[in-house]
Amino acid sequence: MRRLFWKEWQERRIWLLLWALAEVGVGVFAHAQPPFGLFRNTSVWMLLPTALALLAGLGAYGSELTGGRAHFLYSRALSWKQVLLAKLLPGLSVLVAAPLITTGILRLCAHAPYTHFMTPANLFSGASWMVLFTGLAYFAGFGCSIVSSGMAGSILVLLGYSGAVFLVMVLHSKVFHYPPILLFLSLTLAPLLGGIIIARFGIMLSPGARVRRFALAVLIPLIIISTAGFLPAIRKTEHRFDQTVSNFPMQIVSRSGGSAFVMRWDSPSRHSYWVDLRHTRLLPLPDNQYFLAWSSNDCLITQTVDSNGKIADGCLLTWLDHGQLRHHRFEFGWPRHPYASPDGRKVLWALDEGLVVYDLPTDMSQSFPVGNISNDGADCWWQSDAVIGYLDPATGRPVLIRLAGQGRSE
Amino acid sequence: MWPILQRLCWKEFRRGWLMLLLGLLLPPLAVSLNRDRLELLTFDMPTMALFVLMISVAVWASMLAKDARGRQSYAGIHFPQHPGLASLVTYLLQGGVALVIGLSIGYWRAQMGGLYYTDNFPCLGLLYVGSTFAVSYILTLLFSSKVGMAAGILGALVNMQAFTALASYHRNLAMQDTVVHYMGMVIVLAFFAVLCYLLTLRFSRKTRLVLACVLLGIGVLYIPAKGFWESLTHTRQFDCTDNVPTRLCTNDGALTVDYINQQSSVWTSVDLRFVDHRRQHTRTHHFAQAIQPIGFMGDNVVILAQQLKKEPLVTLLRWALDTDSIEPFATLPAHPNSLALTFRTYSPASIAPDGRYGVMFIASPYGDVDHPIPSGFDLWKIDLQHRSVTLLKPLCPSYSYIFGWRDNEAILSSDYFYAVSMETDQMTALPVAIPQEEKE
Repeated sequence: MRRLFWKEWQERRIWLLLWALAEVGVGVFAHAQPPFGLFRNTSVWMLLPTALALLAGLGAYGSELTGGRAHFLYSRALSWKQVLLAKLLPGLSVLVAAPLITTGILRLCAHAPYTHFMTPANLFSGASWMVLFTGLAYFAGFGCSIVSSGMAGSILVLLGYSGAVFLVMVLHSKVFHYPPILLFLSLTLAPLLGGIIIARFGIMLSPGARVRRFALAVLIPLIIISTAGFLPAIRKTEHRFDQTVSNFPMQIVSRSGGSAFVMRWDSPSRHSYWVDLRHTRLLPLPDNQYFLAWSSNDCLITQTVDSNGKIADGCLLTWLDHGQLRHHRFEFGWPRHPYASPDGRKVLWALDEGLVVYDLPTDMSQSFPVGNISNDGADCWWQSDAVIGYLDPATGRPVLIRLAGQGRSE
Repeated sequence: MWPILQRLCWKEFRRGWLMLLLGLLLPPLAVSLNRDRLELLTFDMPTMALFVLMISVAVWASMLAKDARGRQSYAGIHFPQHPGLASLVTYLLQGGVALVIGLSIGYWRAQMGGLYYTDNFPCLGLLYVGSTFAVSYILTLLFSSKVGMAAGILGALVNMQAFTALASYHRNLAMQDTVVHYMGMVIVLAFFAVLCYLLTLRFSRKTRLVLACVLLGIGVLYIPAKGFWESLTHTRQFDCTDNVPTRLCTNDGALTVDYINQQSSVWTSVDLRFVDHRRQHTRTHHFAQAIQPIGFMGDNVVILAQQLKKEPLVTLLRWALDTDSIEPFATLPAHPNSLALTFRTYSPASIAPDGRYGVMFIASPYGDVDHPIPSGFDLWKIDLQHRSVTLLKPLCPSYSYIFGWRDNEAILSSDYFYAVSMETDQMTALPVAIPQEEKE
């Protein structure tokens, strides 16, 4: 048995060592997996140890399937379990040891404000995600290596397996919004299970027979677990995940904290909503709205975008009035920098042509064609509830305008 | 000659058809899954498919090259053909398979679209997968399959970074041109490297290695590394459509702080102008380091964040309009590049209307700040009364550029909506649910 381990070490040490080094290096220096018990914020560099774990797995059995080496191996006084253990154990050691070392280093070198968040539970959780992610790759590679000889054959099996998994997910997504978490677990366990079955019952068979058995061994758990998604308890859990606003990639809170704009981009349409944060409810906005700005009195300015991403002229002003959304469409200009009056009843913003003031209660707007006052930003402001100011583009001097229609004063 | 070529082509077709079929199958499936925003440890399915295909191409190319190298001298001795012919046919035909797969990835990624859509995806996919194939193939011919695979995978990962960056930020045109230009050169140079290697078989191994390594060193290592580095460090000026404010102003527009003298695209040395329009009072101050205004404290003070180059600390400053005095009052750990003021690293921050507290997202020393989506942000509370800072939550995904304030709570969006109590430092998720009919 010791010699078997030695042989495995000799054959696969390059990938195992690279895997361990890459995982510790990427974890410590690139912070691939943060030690705060989160499974998000994962760096793309985490894919490097994952790729090496995959290669370590792919190199497990492939070499035995060429040149009659498997027949020789199994003619010795060794059981299939011992061979499997010798093949599996080196990778398992790296799989467990590398995240633990990474987590330990991160804990020891942590800045003082962060140590409060590095509880044993969080550290364990962070390490577990690393184990799960690299483990998925290692077990997938390991299972595929038993089916076909050499790396080239294994990689084809892996591609086929990936295609099958994607296909199951696509079919699954026709029924559910998200595949259940169980499906992800099955991705890890199905190839391992298939590999073990082939290692026990099919290692001496022809490549075609091995492929058939592997396909059967992998697809059956995938299908069973997918079907388990129909169980009421799992659907209930799923439903809970569905009903969150995290599905909207764009979320912008208003300055008063009372409202928010959220948008989801479902090609070719953009679905946007007004979120009433005080009453925690969503109110639908017209489709294909592109966020421009919030004013401090919770007026939202959006623009319409067509399916080609072209922004139309004009804008839509939206505000909440007694629980209902009200809209006013302006058919001109490119609005910028909305400022609310001190009493919150009016909104002022700048266009290329001048200034616009909109009175929300009376639904009246006033335009002031003072020219383009905005180069880097809109230099206009509320001097008081009835007076606005702007910097004259020609002279750079401040100009005040009284809104009641009583003329202009400087 | 022709019969030999025909047989070689037929052999390559028989070896490559399955790879081609599977390679063409994955991208459309992955893209259709993206409709549901399915993720595996924050990686979406098209990224996972790209990852699997890139690795597969690297391994596939290495195995082909290893096989070709083994048969090179044998074929040259026993058949009336150039010893490098079989390798060349393998390279060209299987490389063609890789290019078709790359084209497919790019085409389907383009179909997926996105907030920042680019038309160049098919071209980029073709170049990335093609260059991965070339690197693995050539390095295996020169050294060994392990070297070819390792280098191919590393190169594939670097390409993936650039690809996903472009997927999100195509408007950074300088970066796009850089990558396309350099990756195109990689393929051309790699192609010539193979030709050099194959057609100079009668040279000594040392000569061939030097020849090939010179070409590879320029084409495969230096140029993409330079292009990638530029893409990471490239900074640009903003416009208002980026949602990154170039100025800070109060709700009524009467107080503003803005950047002036934006001569350089790298804003590490800037002038800030503080204007009180009502009192017609203006101050301008030059800062030699990266600086970002956070918010106003009353009518006279603006709070700034400042970072020295490569320093893993951010210093908070008070800038008084009346006296033009600048006074540091707190420091906090941060990513060394957190205030470089790129779109990726812009730090959303806000001061409460009463000027007692502030909150700030800042790129974490633990965060993945180089990832296109700014996900590695720490959320800090700034206590302006006691001049202290407190870490509220490490590594929030930061999407919101505007915070809201109500009572003593900051309302922010960080994947979910949260109310953060300034008294207790507790973050409470607001229970906003999507109506059931929306799901359908």
